[in-house]
Amino acid sequence: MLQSAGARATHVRLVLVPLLVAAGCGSPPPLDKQLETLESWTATMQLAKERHGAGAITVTYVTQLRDGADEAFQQASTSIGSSARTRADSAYAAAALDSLRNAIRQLEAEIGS
Amino acid sequence: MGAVQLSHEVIDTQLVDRHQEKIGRIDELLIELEDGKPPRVATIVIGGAARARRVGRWMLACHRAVHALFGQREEHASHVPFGAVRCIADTIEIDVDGDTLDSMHLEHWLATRVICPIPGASGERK
Amino acid sequence: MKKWGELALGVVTSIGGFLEVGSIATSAQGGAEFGYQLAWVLLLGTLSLAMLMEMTGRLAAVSKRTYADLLRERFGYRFFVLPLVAVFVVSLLVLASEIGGVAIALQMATGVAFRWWAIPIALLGWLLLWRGNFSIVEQGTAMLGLVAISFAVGALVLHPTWPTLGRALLPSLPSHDRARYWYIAISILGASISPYLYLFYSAGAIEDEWTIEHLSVNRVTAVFGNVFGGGLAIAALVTAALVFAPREIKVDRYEQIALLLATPLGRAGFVFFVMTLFITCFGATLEIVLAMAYLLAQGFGWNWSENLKPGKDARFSTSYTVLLLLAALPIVLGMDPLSLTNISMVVTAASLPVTVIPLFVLMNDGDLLDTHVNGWPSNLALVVIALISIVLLVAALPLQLLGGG
Repeated sequence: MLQSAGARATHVRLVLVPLLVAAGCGSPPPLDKQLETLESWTATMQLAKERHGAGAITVTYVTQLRDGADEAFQQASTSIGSSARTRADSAYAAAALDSLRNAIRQLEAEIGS
Repeated sequence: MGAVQLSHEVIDTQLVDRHQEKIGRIDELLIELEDGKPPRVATIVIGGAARARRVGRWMLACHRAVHALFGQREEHASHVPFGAVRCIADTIEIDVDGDTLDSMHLEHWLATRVICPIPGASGERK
Repeated sequence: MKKWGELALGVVTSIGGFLEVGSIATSAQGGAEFGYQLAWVLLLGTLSLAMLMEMTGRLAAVSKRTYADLLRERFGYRFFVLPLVAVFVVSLLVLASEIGGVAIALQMATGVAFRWWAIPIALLGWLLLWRGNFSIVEQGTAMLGLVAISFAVGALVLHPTWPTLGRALLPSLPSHDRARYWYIAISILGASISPYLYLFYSAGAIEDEWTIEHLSVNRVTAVFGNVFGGGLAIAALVTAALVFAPREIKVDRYEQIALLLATPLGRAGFVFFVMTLFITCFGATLEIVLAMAYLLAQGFGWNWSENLKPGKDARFSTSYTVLLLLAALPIVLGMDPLSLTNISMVVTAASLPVTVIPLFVLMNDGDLLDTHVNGWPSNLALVVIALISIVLLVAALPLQLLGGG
């Protein structure tokens, strides 16, 4: 049965919308959001190191924070490359990843793991 | 002699039996139509498909599907003569023993087969 | 003398019962990302909840029926299906989040991953409901929940700037990231004004056999209890504003929130946080599952009471048993408790109209309430809350997509 032009256009829209939504859901967050997340976890690691040094938090708990930071680092490592469009962006991304990696290492040194 | 609004004060009201135990709500009222006689409110329906039917055909279909899943043709419903009503207030008291009502089947089945075998379930109050 | 005792107990119960997984998470996120700025939303949510609880308590004490009873009786089964389904779906999500909150507390203390704790927590909750009566369930966890006062202590130790906090209690617009600001605002309102709270409160008034003599107890409990409880949520926001915001730490995992109390209060703060999370989320778990079982039982006219042995109200007891196990599943499957919390708070906010708007009709029904119907101030407040609930319904999904993070 032949469809009218209007019905075909509606059909195309109905197919495109879910595809676009799925594509949007699948694409990485914008660079500034990823950098914020990396900086947030870097600061968390620094605060955790300081608090552990003061005897405020247990090694058991610090390990869980470290695991959270690790996960954030892994996720950002795989996705930040595609979000960084310019050389300057790539430099920021590399620096943020470095900061987090160092902060995790310093925390691990603090708790002796 | 007072008047009672059927839709406002009767349908959906909590029912209690002669022992003051809660036995469901009035899910439907049936009016009897007889040739040569005025219509009269004849039957209280508790449980069954009556509730689902009030929402719509889709709800009735869901209701039947759920019961089919459990191998039942339909939920146990009770038809109580309206003449058994003793008091209409915040609750409606009917002169029946709740334990004899079909609509209480699930309550009794759960109590005897599932709940009471578990320690701490039997007795009146905690 | 007895009435003063009931009053004190009611206020204390409300304070200890206010914080739970949603209010802790949303206050922490709000404080971390926007400083004190969202304090006005907490105040708005707290006052709205106080009014809704006072009204549903008054409704129960005077009419001798719960809000759920009257939703069925006055609006009919066809309408009742709507709040039944909405509250059920929303409450199940929140229940799963609360179990997640308890599980995270146990993970922080022991190192054992949260998903392994979900079933033991559900079983412990079930055991308390099975053996305990209403007083034990309601008051026990709420009294222990007073450990949440540690948030107030933590905030005070950090020396907040009171004039700035005072100004933040007035509505303001965000200076940055508007979508995120309003998303967190909606989440805070969803955490504060959860339907299970006033449905449970209304059923509790019947369990405690309240009468017209209890109207003053009801008013004081609902208002003071929630205002002080809301103060603890504001304290959590202030703590996050002073610990996380200067360091630009955003809350991405629930575990980070323990640092809020570990910073001002040291080891004691960490311990108090874990205890607070465990106790308040566990208490909320019991409240929510009871509220859902009450809604079912009252809506369908089953026998119900937490003061009866389970064999006397088999459908009611079966309901809370099944619901607890069902709600534990997402956590068993490893779903992130913070993501679950964030989604459930927004969905809660969107569901409010179906339980707020009918209350307006009931609170003005002279046949039900006689001389205790709403006065114009209460009606005005209820209209405002109803309008807010409609705005939340419309804005929830777009903001979840734009500001959900």
